[in-house]
Amino acid sequence: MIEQTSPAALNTAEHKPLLFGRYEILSELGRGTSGVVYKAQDPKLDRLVAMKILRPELASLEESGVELKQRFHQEAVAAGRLTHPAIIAVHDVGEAEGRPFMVMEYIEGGTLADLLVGGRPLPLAEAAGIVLQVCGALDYAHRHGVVHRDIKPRNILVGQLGVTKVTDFGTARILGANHTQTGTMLGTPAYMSPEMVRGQAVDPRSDLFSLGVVLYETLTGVNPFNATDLAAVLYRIVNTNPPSLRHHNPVLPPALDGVVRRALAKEPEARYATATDFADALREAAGPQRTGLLSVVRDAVGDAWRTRLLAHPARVVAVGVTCLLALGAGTWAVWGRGPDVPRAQDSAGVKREAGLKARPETPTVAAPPATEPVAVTPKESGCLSVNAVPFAEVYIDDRPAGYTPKACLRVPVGEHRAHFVMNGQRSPERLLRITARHTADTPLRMSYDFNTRRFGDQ
Amino acid sequence: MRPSRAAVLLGLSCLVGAGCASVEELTRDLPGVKPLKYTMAGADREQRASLARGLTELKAGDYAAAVRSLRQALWDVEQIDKPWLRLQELVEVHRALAVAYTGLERDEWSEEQRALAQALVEYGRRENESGAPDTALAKAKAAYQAAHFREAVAAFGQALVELEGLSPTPVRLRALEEARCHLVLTYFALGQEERASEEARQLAAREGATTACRRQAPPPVQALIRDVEVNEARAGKRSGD
Repeated sequence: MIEQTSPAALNTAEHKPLLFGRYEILSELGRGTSGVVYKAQDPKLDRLVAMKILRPELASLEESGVELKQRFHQEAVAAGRLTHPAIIAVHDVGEAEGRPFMVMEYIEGGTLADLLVGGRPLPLAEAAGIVLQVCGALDYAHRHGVVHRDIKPRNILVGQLGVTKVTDFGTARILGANHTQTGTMLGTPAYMSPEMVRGQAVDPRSDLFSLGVVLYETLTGVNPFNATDLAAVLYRIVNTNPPSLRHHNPVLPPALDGVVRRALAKEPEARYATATDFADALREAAGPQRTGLLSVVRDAVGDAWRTRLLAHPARVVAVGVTCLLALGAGTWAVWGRGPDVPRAQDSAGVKREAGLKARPETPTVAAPPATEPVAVTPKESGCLSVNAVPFAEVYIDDRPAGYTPKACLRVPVGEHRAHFVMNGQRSPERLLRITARHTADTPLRMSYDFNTRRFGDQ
Repeated sequence: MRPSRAAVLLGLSCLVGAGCASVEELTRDLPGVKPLKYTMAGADREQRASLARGLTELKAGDYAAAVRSLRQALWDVEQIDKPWLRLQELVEVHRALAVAYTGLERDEWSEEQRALAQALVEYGRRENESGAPDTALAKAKAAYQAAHFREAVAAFGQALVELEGLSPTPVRLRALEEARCHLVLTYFALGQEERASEEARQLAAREGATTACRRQAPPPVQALIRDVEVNEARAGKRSGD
């Protein structure tokens, strides 16, 4: 009965679905530098999926000789070979309307960045549980010759019950650098390893440095190399050692400092050799009772539930059995997929819905591939509040940056040209000067009325 | 006049003076009072059906079902022409929604509903001095258009109250649809997608309202509204089954 009201069944003039290939686009989940990710429905298998579609301006670069489509496809296939419970599965790749797409597993939840919003650290058990699962994913990827190169909170999805999955494997290569290329900066500055900053070749230990930064931030709420401008961030990564974890969070076990210090060693040789070594050290420092999934669940469900559960031992057993069944089903689903089904990876900027408030997206203004591969974090960007009547697409420096209305469009600090486009009509251009003082509370505003052909402040 | 008689008279006059509101409170839940009020106002008793169902579901602790019924009730009681009864019923709907949201652990939404109920009570007291109701909507839309989204949320909330002064009923309903549609857009602009979805669900309870809203929404909001429509259709189907 319910199937009769599925999206496909509502394909009337009034409820015409937005189709891309065979997939029905339901809503936008987020935007990364290379693509836009949508929540979509696969009508064939009647399941929700996350669908990443290459940005049109990148797809059009094909005409200028950049083989982006082929590389997008190759990367998806390569990433799809990674089959691990902590790596997002790739279900399908293809091309529609001249734009390549990648169909991935859809996870209810949010990114680790969402959990850290407002500089709030996570409880040790939860933080360690998440980082240990990432270690598992990285260890698997590294053993298969894949270096992620962009480990950061936004690329770590945390689903219900603390189940963690790493996304965006291989996207860096799409952005214009091949695996061995040096001299090109990739990744998000505050999570880069010193060798990435220097433009040297990277190996798996670079990912472990980035994961060390993530661990530091997850435990303290503070990025260890945070600074007001990009140059200062990069300088700190290469030259300075961050303060002790206990400087920010005195209740943390002292042994954790040693783990983070080794992960954040400037020279790769001084770091953990493998993700498994990192995980073992973290497990030991955090304490054996603190890092199990059930303790993560217990922390996640909060005090009220804990009290209720502990008052009813039978419920504890029931919850335990349910968790085991869920894990069992997940494992079965992963192993039962068969060897020819591609696995792994999602995109940057995935924003999930269930219960988690998303932090404003890091730049919605796309950097073009290869030429400007350094992503912009909120520290180097400001908020632009935009609206147009009727709704329109916003262009910053001639690149599409999404639709109006938007209260905080992240734009890199500096001068930019902006205009709106509505049904082929283009508004006049405005020169904007974005500063770090343009926050979500005090954004720079730009609005335009296509009926009167006037900007809001005219 | 003897002192005892004076005291009795004074007491009686106090009772009469304070009386109407107390009598209103005392008789609120008595059987037959609401139907009588509907008869007095020349309103269709069916317009209370969703509210009555929502209250029953609320008492049974079925908060999700109660919210669905109460969303419908918002539009049903709006069709009551007599302002005094419409306001009373709207206040009851918003108070019930507040309880239901609390039950669903949506404390912030619950607070908003309480605030709306309170604003409507205060509006009822000053109804005669109310200014042009469509001015409130115009101000809210101006804030929205100028990309002052946080201010716009408050202004649209105010407009939802002030629009109660607008008649006839079809005009008021259209203005309310417009205000709620703009709330969907504004919450979306603020990145509060869950809140935008809830506002879209309230809009979807009025037949045809989401179709009009979708026409003025950008693709991501269109998708959100379509998501809501599909889910609501499924939920309706499920509860129908």
